[in-house]
Amino acid sequence: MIGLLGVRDLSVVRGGSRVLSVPRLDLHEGAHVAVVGPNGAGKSTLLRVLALLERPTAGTVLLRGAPVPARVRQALALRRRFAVVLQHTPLCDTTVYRNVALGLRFRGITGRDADPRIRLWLHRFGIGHLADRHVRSLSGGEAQRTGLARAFVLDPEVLFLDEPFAALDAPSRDALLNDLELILREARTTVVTITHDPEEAARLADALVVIVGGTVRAAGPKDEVLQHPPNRETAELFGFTVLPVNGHSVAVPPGALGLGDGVLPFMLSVDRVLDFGYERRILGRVGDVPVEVRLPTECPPPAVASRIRISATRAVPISSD
Amino acid sequence: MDLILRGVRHAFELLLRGDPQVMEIMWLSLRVSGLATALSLVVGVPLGVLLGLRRFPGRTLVLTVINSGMGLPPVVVGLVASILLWRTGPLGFLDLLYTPSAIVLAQFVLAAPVVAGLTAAAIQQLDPRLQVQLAGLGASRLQTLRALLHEARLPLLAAVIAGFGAVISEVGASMMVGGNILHYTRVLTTATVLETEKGNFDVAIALSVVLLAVTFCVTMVITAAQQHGTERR
Repeated sequence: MIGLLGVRDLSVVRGGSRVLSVPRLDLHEGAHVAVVGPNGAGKSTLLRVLALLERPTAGTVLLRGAPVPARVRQALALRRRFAVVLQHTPLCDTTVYRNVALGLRFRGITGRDADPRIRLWLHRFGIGHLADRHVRSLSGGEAQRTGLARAFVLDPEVLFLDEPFAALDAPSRDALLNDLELILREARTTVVTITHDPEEAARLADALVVIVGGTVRAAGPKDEVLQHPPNRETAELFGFTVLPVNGHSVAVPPGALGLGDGVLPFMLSVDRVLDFGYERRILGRVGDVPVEVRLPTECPPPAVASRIRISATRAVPISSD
Repeated sequence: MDLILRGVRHAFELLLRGDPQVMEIMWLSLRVSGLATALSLVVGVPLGVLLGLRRFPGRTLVLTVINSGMGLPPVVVGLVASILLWRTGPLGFLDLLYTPSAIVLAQFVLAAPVVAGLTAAAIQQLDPRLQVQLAGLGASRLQTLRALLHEARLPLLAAVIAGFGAVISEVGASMMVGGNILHYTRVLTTATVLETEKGNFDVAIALSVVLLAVTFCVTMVITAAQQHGTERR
């Protein structure tokens, strides 16, 4: 696989503080990469630097191994090989069709050359019937679909999506996530999706980059990162419970904790029991670590303030830094 | 009341008859104020865009000066322009005093801050992420600028209306640098003042009606352009 896009010794400093520091990162051609991290981790900054929308304070962006030149004209030509959908993507004050046509128009593609491409992507995002509608009359989901179609229509080498579902209510988000998952499955283009949501990351990507506090804490194929999170931040981000065992730390995957004896037993102090009707959730602590255990409703609930034995069916050791 | 009615009737007579003197004054007013507004757009829009988009040291000071300039008293502008354009003044060699060009110059000084200030405000009220998003879709700087101006077209055309309205209606500067010379620098406002002073109230009212009609027609054209294609679908 060819390294399509990469950075070397990258750092971004704002207002005297370093918001991003990435010694080395490579994105391979055709990969669907999710950049995951909590809010304020530096994900969007990394996206803007990779998409050549922001110049880093130091370091180099590489495109197919060659450093990206700083000159505006050359940078524009490179930028036109990409397409970006910003978080809460701002649409232009015109119709859906004209919004989707925008990037093509910037590239001098108009009229009959543009129309079939625009219609195709309007259709793929399920907004073909909205082509002549003004964007002011769109719902949040329809607006986001317009923003995505506007980028996909450009058939870019790299597509950057910054929190594509951030502005949406749950039903719109689920519907769009399903559609985008299908579209990406067929897409050969390289896609970089920024998200704070591990589920979105797992569904849309085959490779993960985890950023916490402006540094890359994990990067690699999705399965590798999810099955063996290398550190506490990565594990916790993906819903693992990190517990101490004999002076070391282990990460227990979501749903792998249950009542009774097992491979790895722990004593849980019960703080609260929540009854959801279809299941019970026991909230408690192992030592100082907050832990949640799910129980089927047929199991009798433990008493609050009691100590019960729980165990993990699976756990992976992680570095304790 | 009778005076006003007589004035209005006289105004329509003058207009319908196409009174050559009124027509001449009206066309000069339109030409002078139209040209001054056009020049203020050439300078004010780029300046306003720069102030709206860029952050640089002294920007707030420049904005404050421009915003203060939006309320410049025409008579003060007229006075300063007259002093500068006097034969012995620093711009005396241009030989512009008491010419239509002098009125254009003075009116430009009045309209430019209005256009620049309102343009800066129009650009600043746009979503700041729009500029980044346009770049992310491959827009060049010029394409970005065009798209942003298109997004801000409603308040921008309001700036044109405000700029034109400020200069077509002012009298102080036109009087001081133009001199209200018949067939040469007499515009609707200075002619109205003169006729009032002479006691020809019906003619003064007639000229005022013409001034209002001219302002209304020009504003109507710009408003039509502004509202074109903005209906909600």
